[in-house]
Amino acid sequence: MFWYDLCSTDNRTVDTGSLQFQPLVEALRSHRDDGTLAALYECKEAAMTGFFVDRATYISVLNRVTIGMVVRDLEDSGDKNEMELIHLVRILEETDRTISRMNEKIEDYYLALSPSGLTDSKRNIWGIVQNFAVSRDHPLHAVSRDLMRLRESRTHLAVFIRQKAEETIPNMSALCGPLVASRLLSTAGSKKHLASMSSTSLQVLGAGPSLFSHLVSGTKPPKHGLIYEFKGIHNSGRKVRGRVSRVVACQLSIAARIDFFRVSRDDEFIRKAGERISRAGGEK
Amino acid sequence: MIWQDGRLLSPGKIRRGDRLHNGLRVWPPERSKLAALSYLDADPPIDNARVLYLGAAAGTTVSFVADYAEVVYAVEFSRRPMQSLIRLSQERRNIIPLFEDARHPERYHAFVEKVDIVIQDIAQPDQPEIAISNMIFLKPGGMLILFLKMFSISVSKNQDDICSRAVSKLKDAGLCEITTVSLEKYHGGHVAILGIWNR
Repeated sequence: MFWYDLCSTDNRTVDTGSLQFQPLVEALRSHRDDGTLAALYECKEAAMTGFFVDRATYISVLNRVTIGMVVRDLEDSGDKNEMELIHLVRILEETDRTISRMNEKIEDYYLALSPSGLTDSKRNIWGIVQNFAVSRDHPLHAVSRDLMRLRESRTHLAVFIRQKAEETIPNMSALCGPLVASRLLSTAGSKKHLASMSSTSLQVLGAGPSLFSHLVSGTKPPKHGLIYEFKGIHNSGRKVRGRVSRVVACQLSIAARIDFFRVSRDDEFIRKAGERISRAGGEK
Repeated sequence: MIWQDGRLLSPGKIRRGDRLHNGLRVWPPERSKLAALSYLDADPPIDNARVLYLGAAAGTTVSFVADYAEVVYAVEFSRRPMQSLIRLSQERRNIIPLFEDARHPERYHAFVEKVDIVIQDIAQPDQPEIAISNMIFLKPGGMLILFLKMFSISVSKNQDDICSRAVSKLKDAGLCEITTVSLEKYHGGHVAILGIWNR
C-alpha cells in the first residue's frame, strides 16, 4: 500500500481541488505511527494507479499534506507548560535588555545636556527617568513614562514566571530559586535535555565562550555559568566558589531528573541537597 | 545557475530581506553554505533536480535551492526553525517539509522519492553516519554534498583528522570521487565533502 491509497475518493484521479486534507493527514499519521506506511519512491506509481494526473499535481498535493502533518505534529509534540515557561523567560530577558539599553541612552541624553550631573556621587538613572516622566512637556515625557511602565510589567512577568516555574520544575526551583531554574531551562531548551545533561555541563551552562577558549587554547576552565546568579554561589567566598558551584550543579542535575521523570516535589531530597550545598560553602 | 557581474543570483519569488541585483535575488555566500561552495568550487547540479535537504533549518538555503530545483524534500527536527520553514513551504509549493529526525529515514521514506542530490547541513557529531543512512534515497550516480561542522564533532582534535575520518567513513559506505572543499573563507570551521553514490 502506498500513502496515497489512504485517500478515499470515488474516482481515483485526485486533483488538488477536491482532496480533503485533514482526514488524509490523520490517517497518514496513524499509519506512520503504526509503522504500516509503505514506501513511495517514484511518482510514476502514483500516476500508474491513477491518483494524480501529472507529477506537478502530485508534488503540490504532497506539499499540502506534509504541511498539514507537520502542523499536527508541532501541535502534539512537547509539553505546553514547559514551552510557555521557556518562551516567557526569553521574553523576560529581552525586556531586561531593552530596559537597560533605554536607560543608558536616556542617561547619555541627560549628561550631554547637563554635564554637572557627572559630579554626583551616585549614578541615579531611575531618578532621571522619573523626573522626565513627571514633567509633562519634556520631549522624553512619554518615553520615560512607558519605560517605567515597562519596568512594572517586567515585575508582573517575573512573578508569573516564578509561579509557573514552581509548578513545572518544582525541585530545581526550590534549590536555586525559580528564576535561575527557569533560565537554566530556557538555555538548555527542554526539560528532557536538562535531565540528560551531566552535572558538569549544567555547571558551565551559559559560559560557552570561556568553556571553548579553555578547550581550544587551554585557559582556565570556567567555574560557573548561569548558576552563578544563584545567591548561594555569588555570595560565597571567592575561594570556595568553585566547590560550591560544583556541588550546586550536582544537586541541580539530580533535581532536573526528578522534575523530568517524577514531576512532583520531593521535600526530603530538597532538604538533603540544601544541607550539602551549605556544607560545601563552609571554609575547611 | 545564474551568475551576473560575479554574483550568484536566484530566479525565484522575492522574499522579505532579500538583496536584489538586476531584479533577481542575490544568493549570498556568507549566509548560505551551498552558495559559498559554488563561489569556491563549482556550481552544484541542482538545476531542475530532485533534492533531499537534511537539516533545512529556517529555510534560508532551501528557499534558494527551491528556486532552481524541481522539488526539495526538507527535513528538519527543531521546532522554532520548522515554523519558518512551514511559512516558506506555503509560499513555494515545491518544498516538502518533513518534521522528522534525519537519523530515522524510515519515518519519512513514504514521502521521499529517489533524488538526484542529497544535501546535508546538520551540526551533529554523527553527521557522516546520518548521511550514509539517507543514501537509500539517492539515485546511483547521484551526488552527496555534506557540510561538515568540525566543531560539532570535537573542539580539541585536529581539524584535518576529523575531516579525513569523515571522508573514510563515507568511502567505506560506497561513495566515490570524494572531494573536499574548505569553506573557511565564508564559514569558519566548515568543510564541504562532495561524493558520488555508486551503488
